[in-house]
Amino acid sequence: MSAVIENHHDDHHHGPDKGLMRWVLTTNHKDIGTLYLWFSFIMFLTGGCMALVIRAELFQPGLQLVVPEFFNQMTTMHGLIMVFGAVMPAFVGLANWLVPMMIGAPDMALPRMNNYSFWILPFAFSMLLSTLFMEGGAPNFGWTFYAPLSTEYAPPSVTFFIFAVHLMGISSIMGSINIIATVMNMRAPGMTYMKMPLFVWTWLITAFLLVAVMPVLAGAVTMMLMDINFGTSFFDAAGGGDPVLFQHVFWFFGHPRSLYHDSASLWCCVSNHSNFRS
Amino acid sequence: MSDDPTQEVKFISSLLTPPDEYYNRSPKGEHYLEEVDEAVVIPVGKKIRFLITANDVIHSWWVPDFAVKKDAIPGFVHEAWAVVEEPGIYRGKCTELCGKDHGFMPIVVKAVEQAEYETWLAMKQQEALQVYETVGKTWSMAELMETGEQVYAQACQSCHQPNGQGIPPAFPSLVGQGLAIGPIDAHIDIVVNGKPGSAMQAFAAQLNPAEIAAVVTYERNAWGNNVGDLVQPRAVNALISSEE
Repeated sequence: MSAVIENHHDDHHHGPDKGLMRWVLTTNHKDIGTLYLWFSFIMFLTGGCMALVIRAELFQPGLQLVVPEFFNQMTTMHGLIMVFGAVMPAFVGLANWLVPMMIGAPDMALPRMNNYSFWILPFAFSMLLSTLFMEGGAPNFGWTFYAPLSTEYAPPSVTFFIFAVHLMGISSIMGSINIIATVMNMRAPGMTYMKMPLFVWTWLITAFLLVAVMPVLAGAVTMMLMDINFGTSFFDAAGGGDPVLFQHVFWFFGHPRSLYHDSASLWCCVSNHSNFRS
Repeated sequence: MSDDPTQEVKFISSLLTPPDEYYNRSPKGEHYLEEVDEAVVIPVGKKIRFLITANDVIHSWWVPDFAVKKDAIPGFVHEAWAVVEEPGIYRGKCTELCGKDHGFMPIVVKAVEQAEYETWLAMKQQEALQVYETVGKTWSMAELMETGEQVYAQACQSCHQPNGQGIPPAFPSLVGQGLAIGPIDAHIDIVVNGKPGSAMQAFAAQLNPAEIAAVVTYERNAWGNNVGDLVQPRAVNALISSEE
């Protein structure tokens, strides 16, 4: 016993885990921000390769490299990956890095959830990308997936796409709740709302919008799931539904997402940057 | 098919550009992927009302010279109008992603003087009358197969493929399996009424009874399917009439 006590050091539990587990288990907002940014970069390259396939095929008129079925899979996957896998995680990564530092907080308000929000994404996108290897091919109906092309006429892999969108939505909602909680509760003394940097303001508003609209997207894809697998007719006029309903529900999500999330975050990055420089 | 074949004019407008052009096997023509076999013919100087719908997925009817771009939505009818001053050929395209053949479904509208329009109308009505008469006659196997092959190329092969193999599982193969070698009544029924909840649409409004009879007969006896039976157009007509 005495030997054990002599060899005991009080300091060896401190610091992050070593190697891979540091990144898997991290609750540090900068580590998680870095993970988001690397994930975004990898997705950017993946979606970019698909864009290259598209542009190479369109380099001259006629069919030369890929068949129309695969071409549509490329456009669809490119759009989904760039929107949900590259643009959105890039801004969440910046938010993770910058928001706590800009408002004088030691970390995000909900660090464990922050870790979970990120680690859902690799699973969601693995599932989405796995559809490329499924019978009938990947989703081929465009990133706006209008019914009934995305329901009655879709390949069977659409069910995996729906579940992947659900996961992305969960990740996005948890990330947004985290930002709201951080900004509202963890500002340093003296950091009033009117003194808060523009980037933080943008993210506060964006986070509220995301919490409001991501469930609507989840509703849209769940209605698709019901139409495809459980005999409902939300988007099928033959059963009393309306294909245009899908478009309204989709753009209730898509309009705030593209305009206020992507553009506002981008322009506030630019204006913050120029403020610091001037 | 209505009792008075001259009441309305029906036609299907299909891409005229030969596959050789888009597979780069022959030089591309002037109106590459912008030409059809049956243009929509309208008279000039009159207000034309277009009623637009679809029977599978959402398309969009876009003819820029008319300032018309209207979604064609299955189960709903949209309308648009135009007054065309100049006779001529006006071209457009489908502008809502509708699947793999989205780039292969152009629109051609031919605006002509009133007199020419009436001539065209009379010709179309005469054709409709002929179809009406052919439905009543007894067709031979060879006639059905010949017509069936053309109808298949026009209406079926974009999904079920030229070799009948389809793209399973969304578009099943017709070769050596399923309804194409099963009971003929069920086979006719799926072509006439479609299959709800699947990509198979109802063709009763698009194809005339002779065409349906021909294509059913063709599918049962092509690509090594050797069922050997055939269906007469009048039987299909009776089926459709009884359902109406």
